[in-house]
Parts: sequence; structure tokens; C-alpha cells
Amino acid sequence: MVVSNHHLIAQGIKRAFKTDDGTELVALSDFDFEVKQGEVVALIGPSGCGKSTFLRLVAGLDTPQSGELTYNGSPITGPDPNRGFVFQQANLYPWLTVEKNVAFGLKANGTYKENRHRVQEMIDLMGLAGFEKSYPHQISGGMAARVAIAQTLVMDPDVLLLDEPLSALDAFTRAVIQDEILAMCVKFKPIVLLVTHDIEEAVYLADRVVVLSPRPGTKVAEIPVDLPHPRDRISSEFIAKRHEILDALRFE
Amino acid sequence: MARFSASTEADSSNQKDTASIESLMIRDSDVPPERRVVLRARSTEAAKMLIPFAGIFLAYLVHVLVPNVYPATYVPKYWAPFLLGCAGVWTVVWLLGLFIVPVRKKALRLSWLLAFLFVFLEVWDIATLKTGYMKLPFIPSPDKVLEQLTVNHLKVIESAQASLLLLFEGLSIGLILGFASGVLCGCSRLANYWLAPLLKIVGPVPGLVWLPVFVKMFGSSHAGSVAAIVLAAWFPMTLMLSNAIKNTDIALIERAQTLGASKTRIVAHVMIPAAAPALADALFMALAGSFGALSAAELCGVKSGLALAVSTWGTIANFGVVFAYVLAMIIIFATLTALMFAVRNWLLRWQKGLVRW
Repeated sequence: MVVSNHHLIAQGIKRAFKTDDGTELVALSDFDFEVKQGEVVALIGPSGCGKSTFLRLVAGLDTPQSGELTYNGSPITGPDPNRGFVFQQANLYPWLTVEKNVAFGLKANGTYKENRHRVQEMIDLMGLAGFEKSYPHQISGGMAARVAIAQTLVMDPDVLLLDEPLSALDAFTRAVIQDEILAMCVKFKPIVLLVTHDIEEAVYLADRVVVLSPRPGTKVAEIPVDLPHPRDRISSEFIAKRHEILDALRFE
Repeated sequence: MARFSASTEADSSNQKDTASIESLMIRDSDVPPERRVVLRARSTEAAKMLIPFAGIFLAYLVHVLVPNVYPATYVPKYWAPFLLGCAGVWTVVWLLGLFIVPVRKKALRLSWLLAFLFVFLEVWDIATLKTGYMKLPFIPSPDKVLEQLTVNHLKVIESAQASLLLLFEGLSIGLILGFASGVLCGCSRLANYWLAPLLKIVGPVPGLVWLPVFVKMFGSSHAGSVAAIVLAAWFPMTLMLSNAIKNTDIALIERAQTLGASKTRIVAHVMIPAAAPALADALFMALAGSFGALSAAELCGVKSGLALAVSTWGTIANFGVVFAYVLAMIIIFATLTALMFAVRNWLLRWQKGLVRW
């Protein structure tokens, strides 16, 4: 039996930023967190609560001042394609076609030749077929968001970090891509950390919702969402969960 | 109200006509791009491509019919055949344009401009040969310029060759060095620390000023002249490229990092492509700068080439020859600039439809 052993542990994480007048701005403090393979965890909280900061720490784009952040037992020292990051803005490479944007990471680590078929698979999966040769400015915002997700997923990451990737989309496209993300989770069973402002999105996607307080950001509640998929957004259980999270988000 | 309805009626009937004509023809958009190269022109396009002929024949008629008065004994021999030659060339272009789409597009774009050019040249002819409003020796007639160009064409070609050789020597070294130092300054703090002062002190001073220094420093007037052109191309290239690379959107770099790209890969595949628009502008600035440096170098350094010829013939007041050399310079510089634009379009082909030039 295969034991699902990918796990991410954060203990007492602190990250502060120096402002121009020399004062310290604490984005994240005393943050403890644990997640294991196959789990989808949503981080939710008001602006500036350090949820994006935490995601950047996990990605290895930033380092904490104190505390321990380990992935499978070893500390995170830098970015790794195994920890895929989908940014808030699609920010595709405007000089590369959709196809080449998706293939960027595979080419970077030299595994493009053996994984060439995965590029097309991912394009088909994200509903981008027919736009392989289009440049980013020729496609819609929703499609660009999908390309950005495909660009990350094609690397087959064990950890998927989603930093409000759907916030710029219209409600309909967002719902479609949310379902695509869920399908992806069933298929690849990654660890998923989702940063969002959208309580509905958190309840719809996550197995667990972590609520953070405003500056300095720290964990104030952890709410499990044990509803079966596919979740009905207007069922009473779903709405009750939303209320529970909303209550936890009411800071005095 | 009545007028309004009448005009809309006319419009709609007009639309109907064009629609019925178009339905009989294959439109460009119906054909896949790879097969769009050869397609017959629409009759309106064929007619529009004829517009330059109007300019040419207007010029021809005026030139032939209006008597020559200045200078009194002058008999023009070159201007009329030249105009007819232009008509011949445009006939070939027109025929090619009927069938080849890229030629047609270019021809349609140029049609009004070319017609205007010939009208302008004929005004020049009127102002000189036909009326004497502009006086010799300073303003020769177009016929006189063509005559001098024909008589001196070997000398002009010789000078042009000298100019082009010098320009290519300086420009290629300058662009390569500029690209290298631009990338280096953009990516490395250390390189920027040592190169930025050099850039700020040496760069803004015109090549003309450096020329005497360079000639002594590099041992010969040729090497010194090349160095002046190198500097003129190197400076804008380094400055603009390094700034563009320093300003690469951090999001593009972080995305590459999370996808596992190495530092060198990020430089080659993110920073340099992201700087491509600035690179295109830098090429343009480098080219323009190198023309100036070339002219200065020819006058004060190597003492050869087109700029020197213009200056020398100007001092002995033979402006027919001067105009011939200037014409050669215009042709060379314009051709190089057009080539540069082609390079830019290739560099920025991914922006097609995004940016209107």
C-alpha cells in the first residue's frame, strides 16, 4: 500500500517587512500549519493578513525571519517546480504562444522531449485546444488564467499554491475553472493551498478552511468542510458553512 | 430628414453592390494564411495602385510642355527619361501587385505618397529649370542632379562603398558590444557598478568630439573613426537594454523561478525577450547615432566617403554633384532604416495586433 507521505509543516512562522520609515510591519506571526497529500486547504482572511506572504514562503520566493517551514521533512530553501505557484495575475510570457507558455517549465528543466505529450494533454484538459498558436494578447482573461494554471500543472507538482488565481475572472468563468481545479485534485492528488477572499470559493473547493486575523496575521480558526463533492452552492449545509466562516472572520 | 433617409438609402444600395461583387470573389480572410500569397486584386485595388502614374504623367507633361528658361541655354536630357523609367518600374510593380498580396499591400500603402513625391519633384523642376525662381549654383534642377549622378556615378559608388564599409565595421562591433554590456549591466550589480560611470561619462559626448582622441589612441584615422561609430552605437544600446532588463516585470521572473528555471535561463528566456521592445528602439537609436558619427568620421577622420564628397564639392560650389551625393546618402540611410524596421518587426512579431506602429 502506498502511504501518502507528502506533507508540509509550518511552525511559529514570522515574516515582517521593513517600511521606509524604519518601522517593522509584521505580516505573519506565530503561524502554525500542517497539510498532507490530497488535502485542499483554503487560507482566508482580510487584506494584509499575510496569507499571500505565507504562500510565497512555501513557494520559496521568500524566507521567514523565524520559525520552521519544512516540506517532507527538509526546510524550504528556494523555488522548486515541484511546488507549483499560480499567481493572482496570469502574467503569461507575451512573446510565447499558449503552447510555448505551457511548455516553459518543461523546457527549463530539460524534460520537454519526454513530456511533450503532456503539454497537449494539459491544453486539452483546460479547454484551450485550438488556441495553441495564439499569443497571450489574443486570448481572453479567462483563457489566460487557464493557461497560467496549465503552465503550473504541466510540471506535475506535488504542491499546488493558488494565490487568488480566479479573482480577476467573471463569476461564470470562475465557476467553470473551480470545477476544473477540483477535477485536477481528484486526478493528481496534490497538496493544494488556496488563498482567496471569496468565502464561497473556499467552501466550494476546500477540505479545510484556515481563517487568518489581520496584521499581524495569525491563525484564528480552522474549519473543516466535510461536504461531499460536487457541492451544491445553495444547499443549507453549504450556506451554514459560509456563515460559520463569516462569523470567524468578524474581528473586533 | 429627407436628406438623411436618401443618403442611407444610397449607402445601403452601395453596400449591396459591393456585397454582391464580393460574394463572387475569394476574400483574403477565406483563405488560410499559408495560401494567401497569390490572390487576384479587386478592381478598386487595381485602380488605386495606378495613382502614382497620375503623379508621374503630370510631372512629365509639365516638364515637356513648359519651356526651359533657366539657365537660358540649358537643354535637359535626363529628367523626362527618368520619369518614363519610373513609370516603367511602377508598371512592373502594378502587374506584380495584381497577383502577389505583399507587393499589393505595399503598393497600396505607397500610392498616394509616391504620387505626391512626383508632384513635389516637378515643383522643384518648375522652381529651377522652368522659372529660375531658385538660382544656380546653389539649387540645381532635378535634371542637373541626374546629369551629375550619371557623369559621376563611379565616384559616387566608390564613396558609397567606403561609407558603407566604415559604417558596418563600426556598427556591428558597437551593436555586439552594446548588447553584451547592456545584458551584463542589466543582470549584474557588479558589472553595473563598473560600467555605469563609463556609460555616463563617455556615452553622451558626441563621436565628433572623441574623434581626435580616438585617432591618437587607436593609432590610425581609420581605427579612430571606427571607434567613434562603435561608441555611437554602443551607448544607446547599452543604456536602453540595461534599463529594460533591470525593469523586467518581477512577476515574470518569479513565475520562471517557480517553474524551475535557472538564472542563466531566466536571463536568456525571460529578461532578454521582455526587453525586446526596448532592444528594437535601441537598434533604431544606435543606427541614427552611427549615421551622425559616420559623417563626422568621414569629415575629420578617414577623409573619405559620401559626407566628405558633399563637403568638398560644396566648397567649390558644384551643387549638382552635392545633390547627387546627398541623394546617395538618402538612399543608403533610408534602406538601412527600412532594414532595421524589418528586424524590429521580426523581433516583436508576437506584438502583432497589439501595438499599432
